Amino acid sequence: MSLGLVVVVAGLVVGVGAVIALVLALVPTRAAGEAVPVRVRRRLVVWRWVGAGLGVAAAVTASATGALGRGLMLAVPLFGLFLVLGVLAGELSVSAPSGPTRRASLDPRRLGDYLPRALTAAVVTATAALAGLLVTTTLLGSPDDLGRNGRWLSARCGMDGSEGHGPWPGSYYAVPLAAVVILGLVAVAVTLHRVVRRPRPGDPVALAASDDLLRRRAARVAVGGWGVLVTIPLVGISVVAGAGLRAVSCGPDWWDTLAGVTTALVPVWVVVLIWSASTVVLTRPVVATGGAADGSTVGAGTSGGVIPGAGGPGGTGAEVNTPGAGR
Amino acid sequence: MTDRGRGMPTLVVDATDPVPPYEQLRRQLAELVVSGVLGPGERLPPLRQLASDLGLAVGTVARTYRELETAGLVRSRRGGGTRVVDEPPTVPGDRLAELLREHAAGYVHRARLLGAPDDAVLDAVRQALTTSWSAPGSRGPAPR
Repeated sequence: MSLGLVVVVAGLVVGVGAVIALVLALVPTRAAGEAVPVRVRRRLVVWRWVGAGLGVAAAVTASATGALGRGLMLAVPLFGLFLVLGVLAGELSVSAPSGPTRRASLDPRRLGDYLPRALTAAVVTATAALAGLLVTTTLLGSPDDLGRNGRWLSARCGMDGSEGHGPWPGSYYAVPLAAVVILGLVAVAVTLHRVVRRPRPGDPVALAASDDLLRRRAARVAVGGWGVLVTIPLVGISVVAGAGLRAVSCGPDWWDTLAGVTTALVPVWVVVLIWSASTVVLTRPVVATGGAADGSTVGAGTSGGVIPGAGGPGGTGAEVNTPGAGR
Repeated sequence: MTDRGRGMPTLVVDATDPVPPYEQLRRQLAELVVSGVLGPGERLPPLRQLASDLGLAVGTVARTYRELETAGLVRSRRGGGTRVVDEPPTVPGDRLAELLREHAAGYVHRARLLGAPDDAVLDAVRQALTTSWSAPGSRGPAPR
């Protein structure tokens, strides 16, 4: 595939993505109840953009400074890492309630409520594939002519001959990449934990629907960033490793099989990459419909408790949200 | 996630109340379990979630859950969270009328202190009956 064709296809994908993003921006998601306060939503968005901005800076710096293609290889994973960290910073900016009266829903929040299941499964698969590929290329790598370990693929041909190919994505590339990927995984895990556990920025009933949409969006961006972080190097290493394995003519037979599998899977990883990137980019604004989210909230403890012996403190008590009421 | 939180109770903690927060929570949760709003086997939110939502220390909520467990209202299992026990204590049927009278007397007392006329007191009860939640087994709010 020529460079020109790659540029045309990439431009087409970006153009179509931009149009879809514009259309989605005009079609808001409706959430029952009140909207999350503007200052909270703004902080979430600003931190996300700060993360993306820092990611671009880190990617440019890495690609400009990394030697022998290492920087270029780390550029997009670093962007994904900083994007996820931006989501985390936004979620951390939602502070715990500090007023005299605080409310909390008894509804347990679970990660599964917010996680995009299909995309997560695809990204987990891609991560496992990348780990397997990096271990394999590291084990097969050998030092190049200047002694840089894991930058060369060589095979013994006959009794005293050998054949080699490079650059090879062995430990020279795999170790720094694995370090960024592991950092990314830790960042994603911490971010998803925070997405679930952070407090609600206001009334737990009125804001539940719109706040849950924001949490779901944060989880989608975090998983999308993880997907970008993993699939770009996976595509690159699959292509380079496949070409390297084929280039050595006297390698064992399973090298050809491995080359075939890694190359055949490249389109799959490209799909996961586009899916992940679109999840990061394509978002719809949340519009609250106003009024009660799920019904009215009625104090039950102001008379000192419903059940003697279990009685509530004066002026406070459990409140029950009534389905259907107040609509 | 628009249907999450439907019919689920909301806990309230008043930081200015002299009653410590763990006790405020304990009383409210005990009420919800004994009244059947939180049914057998129903899961309570994780300690950290509740603590985060209420701006309390995790230890405060942990103490509440511990006391509820000691009272036989909930059970905690490692990895399974905290759930209402299978057979929680309930309000005895023969005490219902007595309890209602106690609460009504308390409400009327407070309304009189506010200077509310009898009609307004009764109207407030009627309005509460139409808008309040319905506990399991009750007839629930009148249809509107």
